[in-house]
Amino acid sequence: MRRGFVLIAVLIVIAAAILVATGAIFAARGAVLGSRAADFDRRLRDAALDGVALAADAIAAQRVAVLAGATPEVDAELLRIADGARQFEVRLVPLANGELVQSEAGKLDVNEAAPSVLAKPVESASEVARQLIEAMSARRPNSSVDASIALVPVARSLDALREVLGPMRALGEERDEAEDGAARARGAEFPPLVSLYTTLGAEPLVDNAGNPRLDLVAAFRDDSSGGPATASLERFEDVEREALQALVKESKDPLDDAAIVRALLGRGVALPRIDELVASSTLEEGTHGAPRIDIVRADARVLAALDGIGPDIAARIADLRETLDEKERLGTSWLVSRLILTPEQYGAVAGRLTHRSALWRFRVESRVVQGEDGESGAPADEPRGVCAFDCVVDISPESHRLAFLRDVSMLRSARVIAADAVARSAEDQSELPKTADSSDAEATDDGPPTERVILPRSEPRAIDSPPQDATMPGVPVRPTRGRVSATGRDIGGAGQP
Amino acid sequence: MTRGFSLLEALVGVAIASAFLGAIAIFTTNLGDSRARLARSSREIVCIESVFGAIERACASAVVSGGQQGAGIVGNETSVRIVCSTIGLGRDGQQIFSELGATAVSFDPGSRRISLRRGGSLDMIGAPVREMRVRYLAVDGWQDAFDTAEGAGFPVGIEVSVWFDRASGTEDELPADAVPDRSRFFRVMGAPRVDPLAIRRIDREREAAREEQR
Repeated sequence: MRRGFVLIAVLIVIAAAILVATGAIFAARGAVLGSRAADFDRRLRDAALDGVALAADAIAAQRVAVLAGATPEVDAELLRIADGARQFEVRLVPLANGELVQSEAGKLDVNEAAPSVLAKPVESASEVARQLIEAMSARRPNSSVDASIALVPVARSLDALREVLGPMRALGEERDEAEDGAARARGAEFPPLVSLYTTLGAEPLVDNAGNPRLDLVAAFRDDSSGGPATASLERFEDVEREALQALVKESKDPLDDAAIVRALLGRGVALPRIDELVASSTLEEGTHGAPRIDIVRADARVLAALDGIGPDIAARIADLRETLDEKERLGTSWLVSRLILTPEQYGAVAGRLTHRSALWRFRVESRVVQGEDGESGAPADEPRGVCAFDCVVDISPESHRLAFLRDVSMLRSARVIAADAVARSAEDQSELPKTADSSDAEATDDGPPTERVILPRSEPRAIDSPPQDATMPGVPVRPTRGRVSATGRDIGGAGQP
Repeated sequence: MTRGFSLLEALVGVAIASAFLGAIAIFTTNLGDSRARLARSSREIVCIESVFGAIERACASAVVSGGQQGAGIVGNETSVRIVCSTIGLGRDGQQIFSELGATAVSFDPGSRRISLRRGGSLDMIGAPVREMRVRYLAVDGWQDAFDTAEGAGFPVGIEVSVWFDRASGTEDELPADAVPDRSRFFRVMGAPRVDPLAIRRIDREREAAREEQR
């Protein structure tokens, strides 16, 4: 009897010891997993930031060619970092247009363009898209188009997310799965707002080789006083110099660079020479000028929104720009030589058009992938995840800068939280009648897109047909000779007076 | 017939029991000390990781101007505030999907605690800290304060050093050359590039200046 009691007591003590030891082991394991997750997160972010630097360097390495009008060529795979049994893969992911990089000059500047111009591309888009553009027009200066999602109520935030980022709202494996479908739907779907609008549209005042453009106003002023800029005016032929000098000295109002085109056209200067002179000189002051639209890469909706262009001319530009030769790509005067615009029409809009982009948007994503031996890169108990950065690099300065850099790794979490908030909001309002555009949490975010209408495009016409009349009532004149600063995260552009 | 223990047996028994109890006492004391050390060390690691992690994340996507959020990077020797571009999760006073968020880290000498503010939420870090020093590497050398609103753009990086309070409230001033318990340099993404050799030279010059002062 006594022996049995002692045995039971010993067993209880052993069982308690085992329980305590098990608890301690699990606690230690939890701590290890927690610190491993933090370490994994840090490595993933470091890898993604290395990828951002690499991609920016790769684009900047092509600075001269890109500033002359080329599109930067980059490899999707940036880095593969072996880390024990796993591998970190860092790559550029396709943007909404299917390309790895996207021109920021091909977009309308939401901080600079007139509200009526901003509204045109989204006339056939959803109501949410139109509301977002209205909100951004009313809330200048905007730090970025991406930030506009927060301008709508939470109940519509998922709709806004889809309108602003489109397929770019998905990351990692989710994006892989959506990519095939997105590729099929691409072209039929209305592009996301980040593909049509920007806050980084200011034109860098550098020439096709990356050197600062000649400030004509300062140069001719200096010329009369015999200053050092006199030498820089020697690049002009006599007739060009006379035309530009008259333009600068006789004009009382500050002009945009379209005035250079008009002055040179008026003196019968050849179109390629006009391209050359417009690319290397300016009437604007400082490092950056008024936003210009990249006619080689802009969406037809963006071109159509410009006063003086309109939908028909935009469609013709979109049709013909793929057929340009290398010389034509060095400027915008092919709009005249290809009989899309008359010289008068071209002289009216030339100050708002460009043939190149110095700012390029891309997204870098880092994640764990399968090792080369075919084994899974991440063991079952390893944390999984993806780290992503949206970035815009500006290659106009000799040392490129990151004009926009946003950590978008939490997009998926934010979507889940927003879907939950939308569902709760819908439950709260379940007794109220549903409006036509009321949001449904999951269906809204992952369901089929709202019906949209593509902008009407005219049939391509023969190049010898006469150009249409300009829709612009008069020649735009900039009110003052203001100094435009570069905008972006590192120079204090957003929110600055 | 019952037989008691002899004196020798009793003495040996008492000696063994005393030695055993002494060993247990020493073991228990050591175990308690180790446990306290481990708990303190663990608390310090958690504290510093949360502080360093927050600064690291913020530096990765810092912006110079945050509009209504204020200047991008502003700070002095004991605090730093960084506005960065991220995805708002609808908490800490941020709206969901908002773009800009602010992270502020500051040291309060009174309470000997580091506070970490993200958006509208304020966390006091558990581990007691004797001192926290922040300095900023600009292109022309180290600075004790930095403000992007003064047109300074980004610093090359931010160095944060922490000395934990392990002697429960020591009031002595920390020696200038005291080695920090944890220190890390955070590079600001997209900041001016500085040659590592130049940074080393700047460090040497600073050390020489300190020596001269002494």
